[in-house]
Amino acid sequence: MIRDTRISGYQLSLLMMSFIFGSSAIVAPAATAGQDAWLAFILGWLGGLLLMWLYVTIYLDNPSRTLIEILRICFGKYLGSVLALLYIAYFLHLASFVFRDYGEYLTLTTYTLTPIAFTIGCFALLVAYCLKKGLEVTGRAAEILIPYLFIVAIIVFLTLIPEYELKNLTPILENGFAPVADSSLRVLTFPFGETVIFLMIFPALYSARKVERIAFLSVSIMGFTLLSITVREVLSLGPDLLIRLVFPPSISTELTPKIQFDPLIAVNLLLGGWIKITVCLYAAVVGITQLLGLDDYRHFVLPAAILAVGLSLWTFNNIFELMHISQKLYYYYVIPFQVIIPVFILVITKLKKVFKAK
Amino acid sequence: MVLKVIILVTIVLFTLLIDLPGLLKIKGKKKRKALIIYFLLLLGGFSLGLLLIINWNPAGPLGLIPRIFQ
Repeated sequence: MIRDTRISGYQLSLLMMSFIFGSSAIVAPAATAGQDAWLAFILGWLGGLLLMWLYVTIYLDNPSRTLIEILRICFGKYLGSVLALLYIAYFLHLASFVFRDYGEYLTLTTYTLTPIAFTIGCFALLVAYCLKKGLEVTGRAAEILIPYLFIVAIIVFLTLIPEYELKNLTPILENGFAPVADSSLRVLTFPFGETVIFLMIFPALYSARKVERIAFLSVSIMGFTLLSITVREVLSLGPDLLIRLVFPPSISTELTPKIQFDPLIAVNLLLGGWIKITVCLYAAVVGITQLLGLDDYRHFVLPAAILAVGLSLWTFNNIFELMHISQKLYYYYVIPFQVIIPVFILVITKLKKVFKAK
Repeated sequence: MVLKVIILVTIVLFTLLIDLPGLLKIKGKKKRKALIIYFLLLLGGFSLGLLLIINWNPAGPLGLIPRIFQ
């Protein structure tokens, strides 16, 4: 059943773009750099392209294999299985993070009287239904819905032009390079580093040769879109306000006179978050299925979704704790998954190739 | 609290109703493996749900993983 999953290059590209867009469009990961957020974002984006090169090279060296299989080949049955288990836990945890981001945003801005558990639960039901029907269905739905993300981003960017103040971008590097480097590391791990999860999806592509082009194109397009959103936030809100806000777009969209854009941002989050959680849960359940040598991942979709919802509600006491962990601690936690282990995989794969050739 | 527990149990039963027929159709050794993992996952979700209902959350426990780096 896992091998039967097939998506086209265009669908993979849309999945990657909306995965990167996900919740990063509402959280503004580079915001802590203040007026230098654009610079931090560009550095993080370049790092993201480098990481994407790493992941694509790993996949091209191990064609038609998922991350779980690659880990077991590189590190052996036992250590490989332990690492695979850690990755599965990470994918579930990532899904719970996005669930919570989504729930907090809606509870804070739109459905202020609705319990967060209900909002997240409804969303989980949608995600579980999509996964039960297969990744192809999500891919096809993405073809229809995801172009909307770009339309909204462009509309909001253009309508806010009268509110932009160029002086918000200066002085450049006022506090030195350290805050920029810190922010760019955050951008690197969220959202670009999270694309390591696509090592579970690449084997589903019809033509493996297209992976390289699709991956770089997706990261480039979405990087540019997120850069435009970051610049929009800095220009319209100013660095002081940007650093203090939890969800900057919910405020910046209110600056446009006579038009209420906030629901559009919520819809964007809904679309991006839906794909991101679907991909995370897909990776987790496919990982479990492959680790145990089973055939069909669909049996595990519902319990995994329930677990992710439970985690999302249980892991953080409140939104401040969520923001504290995402801003101060998250990147230490994910760097082994996004950088260290993939680098080891690449080195081991290359060494194996060299020894085999000899 | 009773209502919340009823809702949680209903969700779990509903999940079982959907998935069990498919799981029971699996043949051989794989069936046992699949059932064990399935119930472990479900139990995980159910336990977290119960802990939430009784409001037991020692300062964000799975924040515990990132918190190690604090």
